[in-house]
Amino acid sequence: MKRARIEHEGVEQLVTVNDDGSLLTAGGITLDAEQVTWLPPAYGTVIALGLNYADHASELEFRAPEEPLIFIKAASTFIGHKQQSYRPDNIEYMHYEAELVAVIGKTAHKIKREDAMDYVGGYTLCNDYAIRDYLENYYRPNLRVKSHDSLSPLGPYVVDRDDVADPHRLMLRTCVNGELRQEGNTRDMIFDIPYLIEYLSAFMTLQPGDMISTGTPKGLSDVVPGDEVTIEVEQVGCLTNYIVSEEEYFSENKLL
Amino acid sequence: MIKDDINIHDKVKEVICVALNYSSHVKQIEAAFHEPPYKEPPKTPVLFIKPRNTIAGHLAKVQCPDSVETIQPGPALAIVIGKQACRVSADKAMDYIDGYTLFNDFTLPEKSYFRPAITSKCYDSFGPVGPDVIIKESVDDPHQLDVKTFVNGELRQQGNTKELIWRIPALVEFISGFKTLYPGEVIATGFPAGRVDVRTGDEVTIEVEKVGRLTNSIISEQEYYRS
Repeated sequence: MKRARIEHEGVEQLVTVNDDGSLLTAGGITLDAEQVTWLPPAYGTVIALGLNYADHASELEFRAPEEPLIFIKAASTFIGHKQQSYRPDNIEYMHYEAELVAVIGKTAHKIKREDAMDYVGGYTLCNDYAIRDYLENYYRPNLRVKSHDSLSPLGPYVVDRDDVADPHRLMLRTCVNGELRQEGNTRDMIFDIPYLIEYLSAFMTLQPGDMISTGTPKGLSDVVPGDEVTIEVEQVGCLTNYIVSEEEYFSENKLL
Repeated sequence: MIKDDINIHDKVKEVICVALNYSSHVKQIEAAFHEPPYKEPPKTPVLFIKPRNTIAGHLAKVQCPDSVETIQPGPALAIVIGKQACRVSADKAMDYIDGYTLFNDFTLPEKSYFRPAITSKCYDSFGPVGPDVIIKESVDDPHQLDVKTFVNGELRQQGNTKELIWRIPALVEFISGFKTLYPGEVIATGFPAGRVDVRTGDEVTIEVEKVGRLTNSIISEQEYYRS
């Protein structure tokens, strides 16, 4: 089953996604997906991985890490499916990162690798944009690189764990305006989902709705206003967003 | 004056913190900032997040993980956002602040500032906040406040917010320039020099002049998860 959070006629609701793409509300009403605003499908702490694909690490001229490079994303950075992201003025390089996200399904503390998948409730996608101009060598990657307003599309929905046969055997792709720019497979993760759950739950209790965004493979490139960016993870879904300029974004007074 | 009687820690989902923000602390270590992996001193505030699993209240227990003998408190003046702040300039920043509280950034000793400090700072219970929100009008100058740490009643660490490298208006301008701040969000402005080691059995109180005292006792990891 696919579960989403949407806003429809000013009301936030939980819905399930039908096979034909329409949405079913808890009250049994079917909605056209074109008529709703998609929200991020979960609200918990998001823990993201850097350099978790060997090919991507070498692309950035880093050796693959010996322990996970993890960072926390600010709650305010997330947007839902089909929303706008703004590229700040006066930057040189902002790129997408297609990532598979494991959504925690039950409270996890000091979980062993072999039991870890019992604690996964499902999967979603995160496009973990980065603005490389803002990198500095302190707590790298810092919040301005990775927790910028509008630059973490999340969704569109959470697919139940059991609907994905093997989360470590899924193609990931990014298309910009329909052109394939990034391609990889989750089998190439350096630290896989069970490893990460064991590693994280050793010191932080993971709660239902917390998410682990598992990193991105090779194939980064700059995106600019006007671009339509879609990331895809096989068996999980496609997540689209639209890049606009800072001026256009704020002309609609989105956050003021 | 106390803003309301709601426990701030119940409302907080995460706390944005500033590291390396007291001149006395930075002076002790800045020589390293010209060497790899840093190569140059920070150009912008060094920020990190204490996620919701770390958040605890006044008088809550804080764990000392089994893997270490001691942990370190990080006494901080914290600001509480009063209204939505997006791309706010420093001269208007105080209009977006409701008041002040305390935040104690518990941490394992940090060996490096190069990578995000999750494995030092994000243990369950490592982020006590509170006890109250003091309205901003009660504090005439937030950059002239003594900050102290007491362990079992003994003064062990002392600084003053006049040492802040990035002052409150500058922090609000920088952070709200890329990340909208929402009402109720808490930003911890940093901690002074002189890290203090505390261990199981210790009672730790941090104090910020005119804002209050936040007390927590340290218990073993085993005891923490038993309760």
